[in-house]
Amino acid sequence: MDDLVLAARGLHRSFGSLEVACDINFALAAGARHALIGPNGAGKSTLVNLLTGALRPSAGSIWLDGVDVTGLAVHQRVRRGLARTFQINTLLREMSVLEGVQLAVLERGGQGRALLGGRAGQRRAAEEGFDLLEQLGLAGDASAIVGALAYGRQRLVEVAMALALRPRVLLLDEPAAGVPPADSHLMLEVIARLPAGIAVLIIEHDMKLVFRFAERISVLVAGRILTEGSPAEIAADPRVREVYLGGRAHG
Amino acid sequence: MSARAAAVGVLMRRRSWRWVEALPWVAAIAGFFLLPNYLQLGTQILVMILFALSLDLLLGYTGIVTLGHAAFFGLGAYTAGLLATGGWHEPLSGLVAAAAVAAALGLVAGFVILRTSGLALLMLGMAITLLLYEVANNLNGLTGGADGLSGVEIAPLLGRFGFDMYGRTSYLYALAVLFVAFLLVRAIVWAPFGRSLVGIRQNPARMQAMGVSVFARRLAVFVLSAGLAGLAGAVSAQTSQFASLDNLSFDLSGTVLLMLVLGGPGRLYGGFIGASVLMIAQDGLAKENPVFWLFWLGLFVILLVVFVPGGLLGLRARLGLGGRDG
Repeated sequence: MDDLVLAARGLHRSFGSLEVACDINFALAAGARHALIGPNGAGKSTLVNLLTGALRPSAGSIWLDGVDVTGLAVHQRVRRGLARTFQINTLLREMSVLEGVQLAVLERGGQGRALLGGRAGQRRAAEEGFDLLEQLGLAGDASAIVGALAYGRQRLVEVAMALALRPRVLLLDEPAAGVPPADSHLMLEVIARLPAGIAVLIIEHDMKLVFRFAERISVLVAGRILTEGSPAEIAADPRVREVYLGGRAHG
Repeated sequence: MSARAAAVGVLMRRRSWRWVEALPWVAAIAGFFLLPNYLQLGTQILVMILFALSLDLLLGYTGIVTLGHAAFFGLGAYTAGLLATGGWHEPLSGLVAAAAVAAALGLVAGFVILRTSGLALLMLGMAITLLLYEVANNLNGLTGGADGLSGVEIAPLLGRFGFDMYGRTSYLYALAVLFVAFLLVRAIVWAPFGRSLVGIRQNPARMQAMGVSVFARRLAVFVLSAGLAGLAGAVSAQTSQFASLDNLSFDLSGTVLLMLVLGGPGRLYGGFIGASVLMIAQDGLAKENPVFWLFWLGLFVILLVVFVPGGLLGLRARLGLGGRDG
């Protein structure tokens, strides 16, 4: 129990009579590489919103580092170590890549509230941000305006901003979505090189990506966890093949 | 120089002063010596620049669109005015008191209206202004109602410089207050707090995902902006020795918004340009033909908003003459 950094216990959520999440349980240990897959409409986005705090569960609880965070707001969960990327790029488009990452570093240190001064902190944060961009192969774009970058590059900036927060848990919401096939290897490489200590939860359609990185996979179908197992077990599970890999198209 | 030092340097240098930033202050001091007959107009312009600067924090930097900012200007004006008519004539303490009262209203009002956005926020801001307007209108005995609050007597500044009929003290006083307020605002917008406001304007969801309480930041800047608007109102009341319902009017909220948009929001200097251009043009042209002046102004604003969203300062940046976005 103690080494679990993210846990969902008996999560329920319904909109009226529509049950979009039902008795969802899973747990991530430090350094976990966990994937959550499921066909369209399975409730993946709902689950992301429940975990991040954008939605409150009707029942059940969410734990971060052994603390019940079910009642905490989105930003409070971030401050407790839950960082995320968005399914659709959610960036500071008019700023340079470096400034966006610098802001994230400053906020991590609680310096974003500094009304005056802060010059030395800004310089340190920018330097740390640049080092991070370098690790992600984005150093050449540091001074570029985010909105002017190709979409695939912007996806990487999402990851950079999340990593700048030095999270305990990183939630990657369809990281490969919208990335042209020619650029998708960049994201794969970045995900492969994520710091080992961070627990990563990938919500993804792209099976290639999931089977490459995940050590555990949960399959979400109609708001319920159908099964959980190693990639080999999931690939061999006939129920999974039927509901997900089989007849229904995805993407 | 390493790539890192270069990239970090680009980011950090934006905070530094540039020589063009001396221009408005040189112009203001030159105006004092060269145009002694226009000091009263000049003082009004300085007041409106300060007011527009306070709105720039909200609109230009944080992206909060409001049409209720006159509430804080008017409250500051009446606070300073009532202090003076009530027997407290010292100007600087009057300024501080007016800014504090306006900031306090900003805290209460912001707590309510910042829970909304868009149209609802616009309406609530207007509603608060209307509320204050009617209170000032009905408290006849205290505020003078529709006649305005006259007899605002201000003691000599620092015990030495009297507010004379030529408006020399008034002008320099307004200029000094504007300068101090400007230094404060400039420091704030380039500090981490100010940068986070720009982040909120660009994408609140992203700032929230960085662990920022967007509501708390917005409330903080709202209080700050309300205090500065109150300061502008107080300078207005002290230098004109008069406060009136116009200081609390919807018209004033619209005018200051127009000035800021005209000059260019989010660039610190938008109000300097917008207020000067608008008030000088008004003074010159409106005397000749008030109706036609408004026609040309309207046409000009339409063209500007459609073709140059960044205002006059945006035009400068577009023509490649520099200019820097906040």
